[in-house]
Amino acid sequence: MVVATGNRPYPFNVDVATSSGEFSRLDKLIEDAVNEAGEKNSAVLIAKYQNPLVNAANKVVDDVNRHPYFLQLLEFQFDDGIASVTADDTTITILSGFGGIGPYVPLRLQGVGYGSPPGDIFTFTLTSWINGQSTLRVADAPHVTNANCVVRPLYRGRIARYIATTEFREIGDRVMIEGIKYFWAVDRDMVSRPPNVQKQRVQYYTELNTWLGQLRNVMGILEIDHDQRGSDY
Amino acid sequence: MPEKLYPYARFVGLDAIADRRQMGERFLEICEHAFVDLRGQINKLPGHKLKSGIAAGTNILYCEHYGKDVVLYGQKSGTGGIVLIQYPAGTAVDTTWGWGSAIDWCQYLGTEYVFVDTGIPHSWNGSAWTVESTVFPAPIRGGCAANVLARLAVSGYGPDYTEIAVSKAGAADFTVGSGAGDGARFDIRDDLTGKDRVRGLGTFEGNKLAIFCGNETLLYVADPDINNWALLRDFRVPIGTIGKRTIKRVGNDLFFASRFGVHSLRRSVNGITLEAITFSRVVQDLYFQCIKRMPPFGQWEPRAVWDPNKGHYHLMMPQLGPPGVDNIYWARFTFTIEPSGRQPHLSWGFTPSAGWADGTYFDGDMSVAVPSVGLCDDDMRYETDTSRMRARTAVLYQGSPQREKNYKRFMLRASGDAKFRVRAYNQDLELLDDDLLASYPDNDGSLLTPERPLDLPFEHRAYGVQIEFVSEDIGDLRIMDFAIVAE
Repeated sequence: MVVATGNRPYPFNVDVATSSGEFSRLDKLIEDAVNEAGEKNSAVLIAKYQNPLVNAANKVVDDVNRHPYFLQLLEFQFDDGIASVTADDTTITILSGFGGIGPYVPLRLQGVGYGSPPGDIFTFTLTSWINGQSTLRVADAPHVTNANCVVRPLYRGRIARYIATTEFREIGDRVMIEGIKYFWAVDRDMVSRPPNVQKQRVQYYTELNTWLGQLRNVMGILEIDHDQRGSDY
Repeated sequence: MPEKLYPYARFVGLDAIADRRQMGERFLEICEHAFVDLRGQINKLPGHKLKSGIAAGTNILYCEHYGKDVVLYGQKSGTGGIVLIQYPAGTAVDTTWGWGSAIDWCQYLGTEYVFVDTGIPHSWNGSAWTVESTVFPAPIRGGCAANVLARLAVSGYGPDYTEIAVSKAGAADFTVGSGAGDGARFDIRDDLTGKDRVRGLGTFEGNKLAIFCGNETLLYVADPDINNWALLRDFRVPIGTIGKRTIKRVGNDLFFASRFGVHSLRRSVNGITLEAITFSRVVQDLYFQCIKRMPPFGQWEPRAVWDPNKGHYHLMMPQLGPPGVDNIYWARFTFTIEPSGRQPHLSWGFTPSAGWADGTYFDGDMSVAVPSVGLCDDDMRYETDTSRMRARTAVLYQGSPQREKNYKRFMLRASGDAKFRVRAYNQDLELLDDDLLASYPDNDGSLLTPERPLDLPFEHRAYGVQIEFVSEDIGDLRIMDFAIVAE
């Protein structure tokens, strides 16, 4: 098993060479999903059920695209900026571009993430920043140093569907894996086993909502809604 | 869904006439170099080990025990003929017989006679080889023989190939006369239903001469008085033989192989009548394939040996084509039977290229002829061949074939010291796991030698699985049973 080096967020058996930043390639996600669903030799099942598995992944993309949290994310549009970032340092120096930004704003630090070539860091601000101030604290440390790092809004539009299994989408690995497991199970003979499907469903929606909630920083900027149980839309 | 344990035990043996997805779960799709014993355990068959004094790589095609520890065998000569050699002394005689000729052996009055079509029979009297041109005058030099009631019967000679020459009682002398102890010749042409020829002789119940033709079999009742020899008129079998060397006494039965199967002539349960039964229907598709690949009639006949130690009737069939020596390789059917049991255990195995070309058993010793290897003992402890045991189950569905299972564990009970490997395939024969024991290596990191029940992770999803046991190691191996835990 290839173990991802560095502070890669999820210790899946995904080679960093086939990932983009913190997001893994679809074929690796499918492999993980099939493994976790109880098939040690994933190659056989993937060869047999490639289309249903890709469809399952695209259903997750659909779910993300129409999720209220995600749609709210798209409202956080701002102009790109340039920052100087240092590896393993959560304090970045804004050089240009911003007019001002509040705390808990999701943003993307381009090209300073994990992988080779480096992917992006998906994070959010921890402090507010006004013009003239030099440093800004973010939640995640860059993986590499870059004096001219482009800082962009996190998601500028909806996410495109997967066409090939060699593609990346900016959806958390864990969400994709649980989603593939869930939709694949639903569409197959597992319908005759409601407990398994229900269990998988809870797990999937928990992951989806947690991930999007984290991106939107629901915990930080909103009152915690104690009625949230996972499948809330 | 709850997990459930599905046990698989009491295997039956090879089934070559059903689809692997539809056959009974106790049958095996493949049973190579293995047999199923009377308890339904899958056992590895012994391999072979060169006898001491035999040079490795010798091309030996024929063998027959003369007595305890003495084996006569046929080796390829420098000129492409057959040299008959006595083991262990090595006394040899170069015959003029072509390599691959169908020869027959028959012991009579302490002498082993060796017969070949139209050739002069040779004999081994315990100390020397003799070319028996006097005992067997030109008109009766046939290729098959049997010994019944102290007489030697020879047949398979022209011009009609339907005559049997019977010697004098207690003498190797075929002089015909009218006295009770004189020799005789009789022709069965008029008793046959078609234009046929004698292909083999056998002795049945000590006092009957079984005359095997290509299409049918007749019995002659022998008698000390040659004038009382008579055709058994109420018993004739519409089954012939494909090889005189397949005719073997097994218990009180007489086994033989025909163009369509392996049969037994025997006395029926009522003790009064005789019957002929067919054993091989369960492997007949494979059997027909082997018959198709056999060389044309006259040479390279199939052979058989009955090994009472283990209860095996091995039928070795020459098959045209590589990878064999002389462009022939030897397929082997192994029929496991307890002939006298009240509830006979019948089980089949088949090894496509087993190496063995001939075999002979005498008083606990089993010797085999292996072309390009030599004269060997069957041996499980020091076997030197690379033959591979391979036994594969039917597709095991654990309930409905329409529902996918989530497999969890695989449990196995086995004994023996041969290392082995367990493979798993799904319902479409796609390899799921090449080596289930991989996570349980023994000291040298290779395959496991199990000494206890094994409980292995078996994490797969499929509609059904086929389990395959493979061993390429020396030593014995017995797969008792296994179980699968599935959800």
